[in-house]
Parts: sequence; structure tokens; C-alpha cells
Amino acid sequence: MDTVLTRSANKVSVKSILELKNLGKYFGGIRAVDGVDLSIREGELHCLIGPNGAGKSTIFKMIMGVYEPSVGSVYFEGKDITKKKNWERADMGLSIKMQIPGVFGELSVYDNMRIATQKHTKLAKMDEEITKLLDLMDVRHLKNEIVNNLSHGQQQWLEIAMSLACKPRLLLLDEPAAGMGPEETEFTAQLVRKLNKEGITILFIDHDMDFVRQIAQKVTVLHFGQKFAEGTISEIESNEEVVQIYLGNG
Amino acid sequence: MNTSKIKLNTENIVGIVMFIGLFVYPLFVSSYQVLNLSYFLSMVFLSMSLALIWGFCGIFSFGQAAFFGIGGYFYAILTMNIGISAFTPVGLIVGVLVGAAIAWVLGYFMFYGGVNDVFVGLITLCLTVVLETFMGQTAGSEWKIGEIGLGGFNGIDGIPTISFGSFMLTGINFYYFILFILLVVYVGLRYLGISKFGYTAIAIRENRERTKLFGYNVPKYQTTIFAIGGGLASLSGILYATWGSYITPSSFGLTAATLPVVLVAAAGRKNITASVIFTIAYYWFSQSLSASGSEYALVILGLGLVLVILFVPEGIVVALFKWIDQLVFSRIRKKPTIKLKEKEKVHGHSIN
Repeated sequence: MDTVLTRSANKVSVKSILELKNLGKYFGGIRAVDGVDLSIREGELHCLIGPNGAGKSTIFKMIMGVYEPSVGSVYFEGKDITKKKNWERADMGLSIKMQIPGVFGELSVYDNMRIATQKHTKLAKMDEEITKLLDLMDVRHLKNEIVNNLSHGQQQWLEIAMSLACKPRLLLLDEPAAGMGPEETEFTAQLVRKLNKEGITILFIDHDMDFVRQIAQKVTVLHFGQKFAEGTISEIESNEEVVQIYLGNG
Repeated sequence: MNTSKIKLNTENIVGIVMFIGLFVYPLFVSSYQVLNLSYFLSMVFLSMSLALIWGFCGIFSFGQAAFFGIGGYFYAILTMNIGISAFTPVGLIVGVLVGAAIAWVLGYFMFYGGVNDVFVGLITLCLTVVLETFMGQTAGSEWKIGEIGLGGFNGIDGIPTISFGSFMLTGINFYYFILFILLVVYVGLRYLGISKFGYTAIAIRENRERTKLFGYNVPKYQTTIFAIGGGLASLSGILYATWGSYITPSSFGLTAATLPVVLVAAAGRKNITASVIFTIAYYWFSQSLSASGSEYALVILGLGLVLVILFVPEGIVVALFKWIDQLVFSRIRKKPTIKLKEKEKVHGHSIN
């Protein structure tokens, strides 16, 4: 019930913050992403779902500039960023938590946070910002710990904190609750909702439909690199074809 | 890391003791031994240049010896053509800048061109081999720059000593001059490690692609740090050339290019102090063995280095630092340790 209330409390603008136009990525003869059009509105909490190999992570990588699209364009806040370098996109307000935690495993939690924070915060304010973000993730007590010693969930939260240190306006979360237990997943769901309520537009990928159901305002289904369906979670779950290709009847 | 204050640890104490030791060393030994140590110290800059680019930033290079040669040759050609001893400090500075500029140009094409990892090693190895081979065939009288012949494999001799006005840096003065520069560079590099630039370099070393996604122009940082490394290697070459008054292509050949890699790896590439200590120790040991007439000097050294790299991959000096840190300083600090249970704690409570 709380989920519904939280969802309705969010202010979603009519203005698009991100637009993908006919976006495609071809690896040889394989069309990993094939002509996807997608519009994410400012303030939205939008989820991409689909079977493995549907092209979800590839789309994220094209949005961040890790992959150059074979065709199509990426627009962020109305500007064509298709040819922008990935570090320029981060400076513009795009940030990502990768599918496989992109943390610096041999460094301490503090060092990880410092690397992410120092680029976007004045040095005098940096420690304060780091403490604030670590508190938000409830990992402040691990500040001096080497990241490789943290649990998988803690590494995921640390990476979200690092992504937030870039002060994003659009946050991409690639499977934020992957490999987490029920309570950790619940914590992550609350966290994502809180960030969204604070004004960050969030586009995320997840396979855990309970998690998606809890937080997503809008869901896009991908299949074989193409957009298959789009709508609210209830619309998606009642779509027979989506049930057949992805959700299953069980 | 994680501090801008000087921490009480083995590395810092060893660093301070090392510099005090180097400062008072000439009081207790002969001028010949001071001269020898001047040579060892001049080679330390070469190791530091590699520790900087490889240890800090993950750029593996066989090209530091080439920049060493560029620095040495440039200083020789410039100062010998001008022929005014008071000009030698300018020659030193310009030589360092030229080495840095050439490294910057090479770095620009490599890093902005997306060349990384082992391919940087291969390109820089080619640079070293090409430079040595080219300089080796410059014996003919047509190979002159100004009045100075390049000399082929015999190289250039009669290179002027650095002078400030009429004050020539020889013997103990030269030693203290090198020691002063070493102190400045050492402190600078240690500071770099805890600076914004240093953290960025470390992030690039750990995960280049991820670092870009935090908003860092990685090729720019790589090019800059490679240029600083080139400048340091050139400084080493200039000090070496002025120490012995000569430079030959063999001083930046394949063996010379490999040695800093082995030294820095064996010492612990991520630690500047370790590279400094191990380089001095290596040259001292190498010379002691050679002086004792042992023909097995290089075999013993080589075997020792192979064993170190095999059994202590993080570096022997770094391993020693850590061991002493654990033995002594962890007890002093009484650092709270995180128990496994606490690490695995489930964060199930709500966020307000």
C-alpha cells in the first residue's frame, strides 16, 4: 500500500529527460538492439525488463557512451549526445550503476567514494558529502574497509553511492537488487524510491518482478533487441504476449 | 591513502630515515663512495618515473630508458654546442621539458587513439629499440648536430658538469644537488598520491572504463602522467650524463629498458619509497658484487629478482612495510576491525 502512495506522490514532468530514437547496436550479424524508441520523462521511475539477451544492458551502455550506436540517436535534456564521450555525459548529469559492480575492489570504501566525489564536489565539502552518501547507504561503518571484503549487497550500495556522488539528474541502475536477499532487496527498493522522490529520474533494469512491482511507475519490455510493450506494471502483467515471452504463467 | 596528514607507518619512517641517512652519508665515507652513490641516486629518478606511470596509473612502459637517453643526449648536444658553463642549468631544465614534451606527444597518440595495456608496452619497447639502433649507427662524421658528433656506439663524451656561474657541481656538491632534487621529487610524488590528480590516476589503474563513467577524461590524465614520467626519466638521463661526462646508446638499450621494470616490480610498483630504496640497494649490491670480481654477479641478482617476483608479487619492500606495519603500528593504533558478522549484516530497516 505504501508503494502505491509513494508512487502517486512522485512528480513526473511531461518533459522528456532522455529520448532514444531508432537506437540500434549491431555486433556483426547480431542485432543486439534494433531500432528502439524510448522516452523517459523527468522525475520518472522507469523499468526495462525482458529476457536475457533482449538488449537492456546494451541500451544502458549506449546511453552512457560505452558503446557507440550502429544507428539512431540519444538525446539528453533535448541535446543530441550520441557523439559525446562517456566522461562528458557524466559531467552533463548521467550516472550509472553497472550490472557487475564497478567498484575499485582493492581500495577502501572511502577511497572509492573519494574518486567518485572529488570530480563533482569541492574538496572542502568532500568529506561531508561522502559521509552523507555512506549514511544514506548505511555503510558508513565500513568506511576504512577494503571493498573486496564487503558483501555483494554492500558493494551494490557502495556503487549506487558512487553514482550519486556524480550528482546525476538521470540515474541508470542495472540490476540494483541482483543477488540480494529479501530484506536487502526491500532496503534497495526503499532507497530507489527515496532517490526518485528527491527528484532524480531513474531508469533501471531488473529481473525480480516483485522488486519491479514495488517501485516502477512505467515498464518497457524488450525482446530480441526491440521494444515489445510499454505501460504501467498492471498493464504489462495483463499483457498476454508479455506473459508468454517473459513473465510466464506460474 | 585516506589522509592528507603524515601517518605514523613504516613507509614514512623509513622515508625520513633514508633521507637523513643519505644526508649524513658523505660525512662517513670516502669521496669515491659519494661519487658512486651519486650515480645510484641519478638512476633512482628512472625507477620513480616508472613507479609513477605504472604504479600509480597502470601504464606499463618499456620506454623510460628511451626518455633517459633523450634527456642525456639533448643536454649533451645543447650545452656542448653553446659551450658556456653557466648555461648548463638551462640545459638541464630544457632537457627535462623536451623529454616530457616527446612523452606527451607519444602519449597523446597512444591514449587518445585508444592504445592501452600491453600495446603501450610494445610501442614503448619499439621506441627504445629504434632509438638505440638509430643512435648506434651515427658513428660517421656526417652525424653531427652543430659541432657535436653523435658518435655511434661510442656515444658522446666530455659532457659538461652542471655549473651555477663559476660554481661547478662536482664531487660532494653534485651529490647534494642530486639529493636535493630527489627530496623535492620524492615529496612531490608522495603528495601526488594523496591529491585529486593522484586519486584519479589510481582509479585509472584500477578500472579505466569505470573511471570514465565518473566524468574523468582518462586519456588526458594518462597523457599528462606519461609526460611527467618522461620528464623524470629525462632528468635521470641528464644527471647520469653529467655524472660520468658521457652517454652511449647502450645506456638506453634493451637491458637498460628492462632493468627499471624489474626493479620497480620487485620493490612494489605502487609504492614510491619502495622503488627508491630498492633501486639504491640494487645498484649498491650490483657494484659490490662486480667489485669483488664475481663473474656471477648478474646471475645472482637475476635469480634473486626472479624469486622475489615469483614469491612476493606485490614487491619485497612493500611486503616488508606491511609486515612491520602489522607487527608494530596496528597495535599502536588499535584500529577497530570489522567482524564478518557485522559485514554481512542485513540492512533491512527503512530509510527516513
